[in-house]
Amino acid sequence: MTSESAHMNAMPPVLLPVGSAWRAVLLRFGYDAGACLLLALPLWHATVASAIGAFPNAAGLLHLDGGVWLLELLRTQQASLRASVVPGGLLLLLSSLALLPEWWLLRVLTRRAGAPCAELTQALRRLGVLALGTWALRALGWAAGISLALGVRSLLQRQPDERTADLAACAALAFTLLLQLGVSLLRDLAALRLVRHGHQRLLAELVRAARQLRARAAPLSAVYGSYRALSLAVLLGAHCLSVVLAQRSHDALSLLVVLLGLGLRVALEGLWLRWLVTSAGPAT
Amino acid sequence: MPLSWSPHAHRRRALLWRAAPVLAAALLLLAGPVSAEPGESPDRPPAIASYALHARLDAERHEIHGRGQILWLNSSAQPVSELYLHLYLNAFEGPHTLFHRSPLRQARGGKAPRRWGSIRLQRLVARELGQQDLLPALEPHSPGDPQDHTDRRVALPAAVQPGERLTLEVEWVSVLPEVQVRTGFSRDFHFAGQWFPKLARLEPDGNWAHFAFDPLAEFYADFGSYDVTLDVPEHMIVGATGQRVAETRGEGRVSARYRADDVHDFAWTAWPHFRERHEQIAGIAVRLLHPPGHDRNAERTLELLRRAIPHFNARYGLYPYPTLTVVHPPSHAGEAGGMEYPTLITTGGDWHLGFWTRAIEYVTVHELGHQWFYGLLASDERRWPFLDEGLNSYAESVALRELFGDDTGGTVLGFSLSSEALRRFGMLLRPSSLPIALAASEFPSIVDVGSTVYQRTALLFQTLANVYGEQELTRALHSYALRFRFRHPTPEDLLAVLGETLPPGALQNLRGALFQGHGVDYRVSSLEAATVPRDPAVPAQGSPEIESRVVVSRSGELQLPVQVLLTLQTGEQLRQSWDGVGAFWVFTHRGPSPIVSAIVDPERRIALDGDLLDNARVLSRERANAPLSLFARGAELWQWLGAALRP
Repeated sequence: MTSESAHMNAMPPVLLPVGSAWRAVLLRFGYDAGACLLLALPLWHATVASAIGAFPNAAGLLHLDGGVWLLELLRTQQASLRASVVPGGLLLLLSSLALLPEWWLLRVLTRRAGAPCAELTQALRRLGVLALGTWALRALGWAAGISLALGVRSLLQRQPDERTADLAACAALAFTLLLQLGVSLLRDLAALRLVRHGHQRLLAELVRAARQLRARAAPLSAVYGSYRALSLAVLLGAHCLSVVLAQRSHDALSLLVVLLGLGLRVALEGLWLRWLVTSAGPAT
Repeated sequence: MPLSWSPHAHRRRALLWRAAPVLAAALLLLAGPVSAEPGESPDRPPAIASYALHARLDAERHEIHGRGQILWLNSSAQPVSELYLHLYLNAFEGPHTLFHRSPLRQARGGKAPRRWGSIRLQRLVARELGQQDLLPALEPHSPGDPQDHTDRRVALPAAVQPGERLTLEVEWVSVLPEVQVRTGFSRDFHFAGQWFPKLARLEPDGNWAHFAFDPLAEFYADFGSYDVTLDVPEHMIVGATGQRVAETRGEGRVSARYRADDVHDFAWTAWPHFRERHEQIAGIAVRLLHPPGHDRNAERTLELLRRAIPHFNARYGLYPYPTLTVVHPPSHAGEAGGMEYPTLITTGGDWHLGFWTRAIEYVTVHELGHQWFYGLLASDERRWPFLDEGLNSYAESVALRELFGDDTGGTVLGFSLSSEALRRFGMLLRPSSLPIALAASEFPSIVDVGSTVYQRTALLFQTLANVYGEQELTRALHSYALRFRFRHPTPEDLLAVLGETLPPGALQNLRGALFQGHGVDYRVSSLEAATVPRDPAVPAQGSPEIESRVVVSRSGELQLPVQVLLTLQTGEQLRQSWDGVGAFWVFTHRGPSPIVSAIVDPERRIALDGDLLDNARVLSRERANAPLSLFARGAELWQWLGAALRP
């Protein structure tokens, strides 16, 4: 028995993973859906306060008459909407709490693969540091990418054909987006390692994750790219269907489709992480 | 160079088009038609202020060296001993001018330029007054404003009698600023608006309608002929008011001569990178100049013009000129866009807009409409901006509705947005009781100009159409547009024509909104129902009676007739009418079924209604079902944001 599994066996029973990976996915979905619905509540309150429900076919009204009713609602409720702008603190809290269901999912998948897991507090601390580091890296990446795009655009602005400068800037941004996807992939690899190898140093695990990515760049990128493409397709498909339903006054169904789309994307993420876990092996 | 009337071949084409009014009238029949009034052929205006100019563009220094003659007719009933010249490029000579020291200078895009501009007269001689040099008599600054030089009085050595003409020989240098407020240069793009010494308009009573260049106001001038030769480097492509009648090349330059009759301004552009499209639309030679890469925008512009020109012809009278030049400036000169001149309009917008928005159509139809409301009517844009911008905004709405239906603005997250909805939002975002007919300079800000002059006027006329009949209003505006073509109408002229078709109540409401800032808000104040107590002496028969009581209130000064839609619990609907007189309207109903819902103005005829959401009420014991669609979209947006921002 390794020191890790001994450590795991010493944990109180309540902290041992229970249920299947799908329960973890459901927990993750429940959290994400709850957060979205909570953040969107001011719009619901504004809708109720506007008294638009007194009109027949109120559900379809917001999509009719060229948006007169929608803009009327937003205009009459602008004070309450402005007052209920989500404070940065709440966003930060929700983002931080999102680490819990993520940790749970990674833990379940890791345990299913027969690998040991770090304890809760240690894993959350390391995931939190990883989150901060990822945000910082993303911010730097976007800052660099936008600067590059603006610089390229400025360089080409004197071309008579305005598309030249704009398309060059778009290319720079597209490249930045690809790099950001790479950061996301690296981040998932690192998260997995941090949850698994809780006793290893954080930086060392990050370096190992980067090496892992470099060693298996092609298959990892292919699968990750497929997963993100599929996720985007689900997002767009759910949006289109949801809009069509809303325009036909089936607003409850419209909301359901939004939530189902979210659920499907969370499930896809679960499948991606499961593949990552199994392809990475028990101890890398 | 002599000025003379030239033959108008285009008149024959115009007559041919006039001979087939059935098609145009048929188009109008689909949406409240009015056929061209037979025998009503607008007179051509007398040439009051005509210009024969030669302008040489120094493209390196961005200067225009001009010379020529101004031929002016005293069309008033009074002898005139002074002239007023509008030298509007002086608005951009520095931060001290009326335009630039005003906090409202940003209103129409007047940011401080990196290169200032100016116009300096070098010669001003009155030929008929013994070749008198008038420069010494030119006042040094605008009246009452030593720091502004845009409105300049010239004392004449002798009075010009009514009916007499005066020929002024002029030479000047215009220094174009970095492009702003639709004039200037950006790199090698040049747009010349308000670039020459222009006479103010002399009113029939002998008073000059002169004014300095105000940041919120536009222009006003007499009709005349323009014969302008533009001398530019040969690599430049030129677009201008009027028709190109001659062109000569040599010594690395090209001289293009343009003529325009019956117009009151002249603007032009020169840029080496224009791409051109030519098309004949409704007998008009349309020339579209656009930057490279804007092919999609160009196609959408032309497609819009193919449909919009016949629309405007049918509703407001035939466009009488042979040409229309449409200029889409490059994005780095975007300040030159969105403006109107006689027979020349500027549009604008980025190259990709034509792929995903209707912004191109919006700006094009608005500027095209100005050919009628401004170009042909030539009302005083400073004194009564609503006569051009307001009426044109209404005309734009009508055109967009006819061409595109309701979703004219575009679609965002599944919500389609119409121009009417955006106007209403714009008008009410900053509620105001300012009279619509204020002078431009009397508005506190450009936001007030926008919400009152543009949006509120359009919605006011939409309300009149909805309440009193769109056919009637269309007929009235058609008559106004034809009758006052070339005649510089005033609000009273408009009201007089509308009064011939619309009822007195409509005129009263119109006057109130125009001159006193009147508005209106209808609301369902209360809806109640109670069981009528039975008379214990009378044996009970059938179900008990329920008495329902609806109160509809009106706030604001406008009194517009409305309908009230009442729905009983059985689903039966009752429709009642209220003439809008008084502050309240009460309706009671007795029957086995209560009224469960009341809606005032169910068809939303009162576009000016200050709040639509108080127009309905349900019985308290019936639940109002708040829709979920906005909540769903919000949840979806947060989902996207969360996915984009997750670590």
